[in-house]
Amino acid sequence: MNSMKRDKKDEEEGGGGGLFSSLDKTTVLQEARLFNETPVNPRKCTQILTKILYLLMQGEELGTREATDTFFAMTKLFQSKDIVLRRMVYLGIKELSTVAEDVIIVTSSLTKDMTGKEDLYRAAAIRALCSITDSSMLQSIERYMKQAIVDKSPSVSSAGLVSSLHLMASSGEIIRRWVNEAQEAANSDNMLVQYHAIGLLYAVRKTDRLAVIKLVSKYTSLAVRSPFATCMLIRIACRLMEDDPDNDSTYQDFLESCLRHKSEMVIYEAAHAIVNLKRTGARELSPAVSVLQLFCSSPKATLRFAAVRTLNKVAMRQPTAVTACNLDLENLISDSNRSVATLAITTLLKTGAESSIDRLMKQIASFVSEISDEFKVVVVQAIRALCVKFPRKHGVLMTFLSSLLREEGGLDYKAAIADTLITIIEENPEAKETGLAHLCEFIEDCEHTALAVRILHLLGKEGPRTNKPSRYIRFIYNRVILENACVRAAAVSALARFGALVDELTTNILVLLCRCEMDSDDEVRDRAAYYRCILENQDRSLSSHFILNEFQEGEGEPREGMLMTEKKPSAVTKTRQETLAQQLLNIPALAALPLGQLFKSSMPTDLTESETEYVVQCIKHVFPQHVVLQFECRNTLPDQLLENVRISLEIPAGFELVSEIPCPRLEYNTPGNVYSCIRLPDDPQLAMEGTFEATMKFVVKDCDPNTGLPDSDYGYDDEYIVRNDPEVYFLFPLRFLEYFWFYLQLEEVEVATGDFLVKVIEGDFQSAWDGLGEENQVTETFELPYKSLEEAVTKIVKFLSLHPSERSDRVQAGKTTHTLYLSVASLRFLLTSFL
Amino acid sequence: MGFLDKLVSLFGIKKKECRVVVVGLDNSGKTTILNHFKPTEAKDTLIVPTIGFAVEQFKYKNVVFSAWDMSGQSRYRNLWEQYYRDCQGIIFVIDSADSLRLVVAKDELDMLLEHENIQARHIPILLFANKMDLKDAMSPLEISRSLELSKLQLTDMAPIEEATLRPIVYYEFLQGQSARAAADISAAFKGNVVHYSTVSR
Repeated sequence: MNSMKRDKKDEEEGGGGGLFSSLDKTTVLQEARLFNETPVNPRKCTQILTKILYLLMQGEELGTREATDTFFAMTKLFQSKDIVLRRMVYLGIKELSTVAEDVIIVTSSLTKDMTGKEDLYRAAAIRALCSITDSSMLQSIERYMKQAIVDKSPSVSSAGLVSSLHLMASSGEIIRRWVNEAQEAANSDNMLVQYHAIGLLYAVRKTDRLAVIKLVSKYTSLAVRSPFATCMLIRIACRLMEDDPDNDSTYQDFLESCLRHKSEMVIYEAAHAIVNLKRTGARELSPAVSVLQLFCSSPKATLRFAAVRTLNKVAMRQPTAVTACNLDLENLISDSNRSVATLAITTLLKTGAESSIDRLMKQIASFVSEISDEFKVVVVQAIRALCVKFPRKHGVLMTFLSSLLREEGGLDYKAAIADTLITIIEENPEAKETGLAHLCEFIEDCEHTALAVRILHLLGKEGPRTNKPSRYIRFIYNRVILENACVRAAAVSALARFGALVDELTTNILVLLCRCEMDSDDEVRDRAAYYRCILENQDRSLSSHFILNEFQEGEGEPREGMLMTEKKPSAVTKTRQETLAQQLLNIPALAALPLGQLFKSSMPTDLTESETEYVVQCIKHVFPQHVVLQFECRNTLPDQLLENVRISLEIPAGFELVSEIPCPRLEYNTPGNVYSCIRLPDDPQLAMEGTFEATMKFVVKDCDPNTGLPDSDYGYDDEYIVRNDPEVYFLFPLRFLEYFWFYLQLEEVEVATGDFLVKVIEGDFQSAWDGLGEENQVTETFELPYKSLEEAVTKIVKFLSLHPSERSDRVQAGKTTHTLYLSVASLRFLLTSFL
Repeated sequence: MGFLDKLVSLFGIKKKECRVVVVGLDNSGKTTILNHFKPTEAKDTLIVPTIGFAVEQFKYKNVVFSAWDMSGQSRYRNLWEQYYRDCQGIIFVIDSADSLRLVVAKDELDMLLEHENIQARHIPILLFANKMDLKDAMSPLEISRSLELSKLQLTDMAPIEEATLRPIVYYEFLQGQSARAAADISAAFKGNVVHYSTVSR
């Protein structure tokens, strides 16, 4: 009591913090020598321990030596019977247990305390004990832990359960044996013990779905008393429902019964769970929403906040469900708690009708300056959703946003606003001009480089396509004069795009770029010179290729008249493609063939199970007229040596086997390669897809595992070995050959469309598409066996192994149509287009 | 005068607390010995191998003894030395029936006697040969021979020179005594210790 009073006084003095103001690690550790003295002075030692703990909490790190010394000094304090000191020692042990060595030395002392009579020691001793125990030591304290879990005292039982939960990570096997004790503890009357026990039971069974289902159904039918435990059951039940969408409605009933629970915590948890379940429909939602509605008028601020926050989430997905609460939400706008008010308003924005927007915006404007940045971001996001919903209101919303932009705020907040404006511009062509004007105004006075660069890029992209591109030039060129190098460089790039796209401005832009060449920064000068050079050429294709599509990564052959500045910095590390190509060239038999330029190498595919004796992987190298199949074989048996390894392929019609390079010798664990070169069908109309059945043939020789030398010159020449393995069989013992061929059936090798396509990162898909012209476009309709749009998009991208352009791989939820842009550089198409 | 009386007479006047470290190989009976010093109601009925150490406290002639019951398992033996520095007495327990590992015990004893925190101190060390009641126990003579106690400079009955700071080893192995029986223990600790020698190996 006395010490508490003193603490209070210290706090009031403030600032200095008295005892802990300027602690130094070395001095404190020096002081810790006091621990070694007899008799122990509990008051002083407690103070020193507090200092050590304080330092550790401040992030001070002890070396292993220091920590071990301190730890052993601390162990001497076990002879004192002072309760406060002992509990401090426990804390010290826990903190140092990860750094110091030989911490297990205190095991016996702690087990003595945890089984002793002093109740104040017991729970803390258990916690300390578990922090020093590793899985090898756990067995020796297992008995004590089991006893602790079923102890009468709730604190001891809880400590035992929670410590077991922590130990699950390192020694789950042992903890699994304590299930009976945990089950007994789960029947406890104490709220926390029950909660912790069920938590442990769940952790033990987490991996076993059936066991979890049993656990949940057992405790949901038992009517658990502890609200904490009920909340956890709700969460587990939700997880089960998410994992298995077509199970029966028992869990749903459980959730709904929890809505009528007497504890507010449980009610909220259940409502929150229902709202967050993906499968929740309007019918399930309504009871949850009505419960949340009740919470909205609760006198407790936390409940109001929780309710309104959850309603806010619901409003994003199903605004109609929340309209019933609109009245309550309106009341909350004037809530004294600003966080509640913000959330209420943003929810209303999502649910409200178009007519109420003006009024709500006014209300937001009245208090937006009072709330923190995080909530401002929430407001901005709500406005963004609103813009999508009511495109016609963009005028009001944009004016509001631009007024927000002019106010003070952090980067996150400003970025959110800019994001919203950009979305509006992209989604709503009508709003484009005004939106760009707002953004231009913003970059006039923007202290965030990243944001300015982004907006400049957007201006470069969208500006030239507007009615009056020239009006943006001034804003952009102002940046070149006023801003830092990063922004200047971005501005130069934006200018160049104007020059490339708007013919009547080209000459003006050239003048500006000339001026930029006087810049003090290298990058800015380089860009200006580079763009000027391209623009002066007056070549449409050149400028579209190097200004509008500058992100293109194709390694297209150098074209005539191409600028030397285009030279890409030669990569220091070779790409995978290059190393593989080099590997192929090193094989004389392959190098002799007229293969031409390597177009693409696929990722390796497994032709065997990964744990078989002989592992084979296949890499497909695609050349203009050929495919080279590289079979990487690996022998995993140390006492065998494979010789003359061949892969025989069944070649489908149209394809033609050109040559085959066997692997003469395959030693243990050293990969060997077999190559097959196949000529593709000449007729481009013929499907380029083919399936090759592959069989691996080889001779097995026993060898000494240590030296790798064969035991005899011949393979199994004298004995028959009949293998049970169905995959490996041999045909006839060809006596005159004096060894056997083994045949290993492999998975089929497939050559599919995706192998002939290379992903190209196309900067501006639209212009590239338009550039191709009508005659190259083919429209076909496919029926795809996919359930959702997301699934279809990911599958198509994977199947064709192409790169989605303009972020078109992201599907907006709830849409029924979606356009996927894929950039293709097909081998065949490329070839024909060059001709 | 018994060993505890010696300790009391050495420190009892100045201090009211005394730290004793109890060491010895595993399964030699350290925890069992200390168990006898506890009051009857606090006695453990089941003795399990100690892990690390445990502190037991008991009172004898107004002096509070803190006995540090160290674990004898090989992986913890190198941790004994952590507690040598501030102890006022050492009890080294020997398992008389374990003739095979007596050499290990001797090694540990030698290491203890040569330790820097022991060597230059006037510290009493009691050698306690436990389990003398077992039928395959070695005789006192055999034990002292195996431990080469004769090599310790014997100063039987001679007055200890207080000036030379050296550990004093007390030993007397009574036939038939064991920590299993409480009576024997009090005999060992409270009965007269006849042999003692300072260490000058």
